[in-house]
Amino acid sequence: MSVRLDGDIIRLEGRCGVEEAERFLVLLQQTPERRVDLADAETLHTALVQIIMALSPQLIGECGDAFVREWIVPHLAKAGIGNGTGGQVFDSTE
Amino acid sequence: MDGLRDQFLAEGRELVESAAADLLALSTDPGRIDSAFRAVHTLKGSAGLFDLKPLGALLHAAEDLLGALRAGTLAADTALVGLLLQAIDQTAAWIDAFDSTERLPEDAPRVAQQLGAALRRPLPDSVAAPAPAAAPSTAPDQPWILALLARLEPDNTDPVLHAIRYVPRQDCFFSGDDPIGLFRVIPALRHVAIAERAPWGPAESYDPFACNLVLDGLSAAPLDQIRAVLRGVPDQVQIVAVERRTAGRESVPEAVSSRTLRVDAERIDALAGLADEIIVANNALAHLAAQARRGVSGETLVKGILASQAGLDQLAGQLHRAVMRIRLIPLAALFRSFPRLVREIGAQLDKELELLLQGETIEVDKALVDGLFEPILHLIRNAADHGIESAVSRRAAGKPACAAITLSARRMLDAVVIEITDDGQGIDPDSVRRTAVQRGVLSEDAAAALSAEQAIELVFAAGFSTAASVTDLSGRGVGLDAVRSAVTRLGGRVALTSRPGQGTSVRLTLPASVVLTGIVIIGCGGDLYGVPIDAVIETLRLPPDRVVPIRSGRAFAWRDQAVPIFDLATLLGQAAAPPEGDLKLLLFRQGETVSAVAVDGFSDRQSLLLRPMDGLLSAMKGLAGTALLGTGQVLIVLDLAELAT
Repeated sequence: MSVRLDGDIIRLEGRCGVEEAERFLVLLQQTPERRVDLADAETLHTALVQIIMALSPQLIGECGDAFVREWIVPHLAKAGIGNGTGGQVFDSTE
Repeated sequence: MDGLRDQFLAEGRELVESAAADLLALSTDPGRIDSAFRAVHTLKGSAGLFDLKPLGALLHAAEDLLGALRAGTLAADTALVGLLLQAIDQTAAWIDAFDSTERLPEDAPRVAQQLGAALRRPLPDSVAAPAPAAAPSTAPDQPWILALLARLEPDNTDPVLHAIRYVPRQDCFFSGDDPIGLFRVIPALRHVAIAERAPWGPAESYDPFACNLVLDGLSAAPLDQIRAVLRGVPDQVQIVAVERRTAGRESVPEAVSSRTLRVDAERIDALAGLADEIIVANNALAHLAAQARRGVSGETLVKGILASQAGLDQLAGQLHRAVMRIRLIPLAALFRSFPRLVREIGAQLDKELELLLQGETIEVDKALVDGLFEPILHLIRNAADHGIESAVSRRAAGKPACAAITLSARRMLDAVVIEITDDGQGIDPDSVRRTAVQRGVLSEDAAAALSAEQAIELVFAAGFSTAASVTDLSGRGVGLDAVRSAVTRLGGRVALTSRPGQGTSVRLTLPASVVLTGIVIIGCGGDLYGVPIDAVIETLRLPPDRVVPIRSGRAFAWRDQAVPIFDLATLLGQAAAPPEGDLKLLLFRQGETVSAVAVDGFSDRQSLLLRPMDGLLSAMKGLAGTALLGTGQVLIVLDLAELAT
């Protein structure tokens, strides 16, 4: 299973495909305070990235998907997301 | 279609100007060939959107020649640059024709054919044949591309980049597409920007199966490799080749400032921020109004109103400044047409002229840029025509054959000083005196009484010309007096200094922006009028026994001079008030002399935005403009010096 709820943390692991999108969304909609751990994610499908962009949950762990880490996460961090407790503070490239 | 047409007209004119400026600068900065090429290329592309085939053909020929110059197969000499300038001038004329008549003149195909042939003649045969269509567009002037380029690593040296914009269909997930998955395998990505297409709605109603992204990227990979990656979604992808100067990125910001952003986005943001704050301030006022309705005690209300007023006052000031800043544009917009005009003037007069520009980055109110072209052109023509000697005389005087005319601008507090200086023969005060007497401008005695400086100023008198012959260029009845009145209309002053044998300098001092004017409000015959505070020397009360009747008028002694007293009511064509008690006088400068005007009373001083008279009223004598009082009443502002003449 590549979307896993672990306490109040949603962990995205391995290759996360479009079929995980609905479950991921529901977990975040139920409890928006849940944090999202991307450390073990290998590749994230656009549908999942888009949920992170739209709902801007707090991110923890350095994103395992290099493309997303390099080009997308910094812009989320710029919007004030992902710098909470319990995880890595994402540097903005700015 | 109208929006497209307007954009073509506006952008076309800008491109014409920038291409001309680039061509003129080629001799000193050969690197500007790139920018000239780009401008002509973009112009050609834009012309293709309309039914303007001759224009397209002409620009195509110009582009080919520029391409050969850029590649180094031809050297840019004066003749070739002249040809290119001719093509640019023709383009400007055709854009104007298209603007006013929606089509090109009848003779356009013939002109395009002739000029195009002339442009192609210097080309080697291989280039002269119409070039095959280049792969993708090379014009990197779309905002999204410029935004991408701006984010490149500063040390990026890729000679060619491809800008890629991929807007996936909303239902693309259903057809198995993973847009980010596709994008991430594009080779040699230099920058990626992924953003939402439409704002994200509320989280509760988020649709996980609708794609709402725009993916932009820059890649250094060849076009076919990029196309191979995106072959499955060609209808959703746009690829634009961006050629870059090997020297680095300097060409990019240039394009940003001169073309895409007509107003600095930051200034619009500042304005939007202020608009928000005004809404907030208005809410506070609404709250006070509600309190007043509920019958809250007077003291609380007064405090609230005072605080609210102070806040609004500050905001109004900020808003005014922000708007003024939007109206500010660099003087370069005004200056850049002059180098070419000086070339033409030099050719007409057979004089070797060089125009030096300084301070063109200074920003001034748009009204100044619009209003100063004619006066400056006139002064430059005058300098070239009357100031600069013939090559023979210059050599005899030990000066370089090439004369220098300097057009410079600098900022002084709230003013902008624009100076036109030549290194010509200067103005001979005696010759000015003689001519002035001959032309009946003033009597021989009066002329002799003038100091050298004052005599030189006579060149601004109406219909004055010191040149022995009226030339084609300056003269023809429009003298320097036209310059003076144009500059005065803009709220400025003209001063002239000259040293015989060394040259002449004309200095225009202008307000940098349309600033608030201090205005004295006076009463007369029951009405209120304004007088600009700058025009007022002082106000005073005068006991009737100090008034001395002189012929039909009155005067009084003030600091050892006799000051004539005018009656404002009489000047305004009203019945003169019967004199009783002390006279209330307002002293003002009228040229070199001081005059006084008697008024009913002084009311107030305020800072107001002085608007010039327009329409029928603009022809009325003695009116400086109007200003709106806080009460909503329109105040007529008088030009006393003009009224009393």
